[in-house]
Amino acid sequence: MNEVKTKRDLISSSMKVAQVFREARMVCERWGYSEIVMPSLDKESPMLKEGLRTLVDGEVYRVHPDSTSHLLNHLKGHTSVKLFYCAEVLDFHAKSRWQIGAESIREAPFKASVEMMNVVISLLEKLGIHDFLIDIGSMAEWERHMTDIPEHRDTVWKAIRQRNFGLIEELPIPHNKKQELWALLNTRTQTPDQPEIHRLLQSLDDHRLYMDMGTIRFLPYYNELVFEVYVPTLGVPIGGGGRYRVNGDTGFGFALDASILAQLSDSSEPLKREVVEGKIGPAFKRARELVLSDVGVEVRAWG
Amino acid sequence: MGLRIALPEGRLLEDSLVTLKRIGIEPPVRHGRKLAIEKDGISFIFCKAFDVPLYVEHGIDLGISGGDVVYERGCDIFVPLEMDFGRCRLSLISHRSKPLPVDELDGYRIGTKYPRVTKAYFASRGVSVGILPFSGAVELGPVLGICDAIVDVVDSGRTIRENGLEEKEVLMHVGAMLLVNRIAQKKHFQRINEIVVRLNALKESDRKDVD
Repeated sequence: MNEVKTKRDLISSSMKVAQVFREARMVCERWGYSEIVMPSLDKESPMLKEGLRTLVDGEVYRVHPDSTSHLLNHLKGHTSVKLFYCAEVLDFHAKSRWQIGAESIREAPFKASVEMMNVVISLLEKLGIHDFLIDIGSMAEWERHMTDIPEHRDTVWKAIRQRNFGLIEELPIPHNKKQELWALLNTRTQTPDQPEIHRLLQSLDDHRLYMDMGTIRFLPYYNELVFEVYVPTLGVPIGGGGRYRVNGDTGFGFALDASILAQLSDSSEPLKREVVEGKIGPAFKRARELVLSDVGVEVRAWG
Repeated sequence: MGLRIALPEGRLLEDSLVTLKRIGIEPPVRHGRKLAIEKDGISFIFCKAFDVPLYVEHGIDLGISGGDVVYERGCDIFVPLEMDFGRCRLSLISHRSKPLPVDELDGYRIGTKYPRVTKAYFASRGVSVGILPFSGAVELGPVLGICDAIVDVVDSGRTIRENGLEEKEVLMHVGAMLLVNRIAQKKHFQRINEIVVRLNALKESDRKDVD
């Protein structure tokens, strides 16, 4: 009879997430990204998203905020940087999730977009996830379509967020404007008119990528291309990212949910190890040499 | 995989089934208490009204639920359409004889099945109230004196009248809403858009008939 499990198996789920982190580190480093480790606490700031609010000596801090907002909150300097992180994020109710993300800051915008999408695709493939889709939208394209109705901007954003066209129907704007917005919301294609997304899709040449103008991300810093990654069999997105502008700097970043990646991952291939046998002292000495040469070891020693 | 639609047990079920039928989605005849029934390639899932947004957020393609529940749950879903049935209001209710100006309710205790909406409403008025979370028969709270007022759905108002209560203020007007899972919207793009368009057309034509 199967044993009834009363507790979530924290150790094995943690090992799966750690395996995803290992693969992510390998992929990101090969693309030239440097890992950063952020402190768990950060002082309250309008830039920070998520994180558990706490009070320390009368000041409000956030514990494990969203990593992108955390990183951008401390962005300084003028040279281009390519960073990645594997981090825990807490929400306001202390619910934890693991995040993998990368940021390319102050690089040429289009090159950064193409490179970052390639990083995401190679990471997913490295994890054995091939049936993903990536939808790309444009915050800037929506803004362009709202320049003649600035007083209704908030309602239109709300309508896009909920995909609720009724909200637009009720606006006192011309019928053809409503039709224009409705058509834009329903634009989903692999051969888009939007020049930048068209160029991006051409450069990436991958059948799993679409332009979907219903794809938007509501973080205050995203201002241009945004994207969302998902697999059709799972009802929730794996993550996403986009281009942003913060304090005069432009960047392109992504964040993926490592727990979902662990659930979907098919990269359970164990590390190949060399068996080292012998007396305990010499066997471990030999094993140490192998480890320093990047070879995995399994020591079978006696004595 | 075909579409999966979550339907709410209770006051919205009958109208939901009729509405789906009118746009060409023939719902199954339900015998007994089976919770999921497949018909013509569509799975119909019958669940508690309060759980419909959760099901949709976590992978069920479509759902129908009341706006009260949608706002209370605050799920990450699309809400493309508000429909013309299940109309009611979410109101602040208390004893008929008890004056209850909202701005003077600091420290009062409010019983409700909608703690999230209630907290947000009072916070927006700058009033801090205690919440007593009920799961049903909320009207008993003020009747038995365990809370000062309640926030609940009012349809005909018969239950509150029969219990010596009255509406003091309307928090919001709500109706049945169509809910769509964010990934399903991409996966079944054409099909879901067709359903939204047909439901919208039905709503428009019903309104014209009333006019």
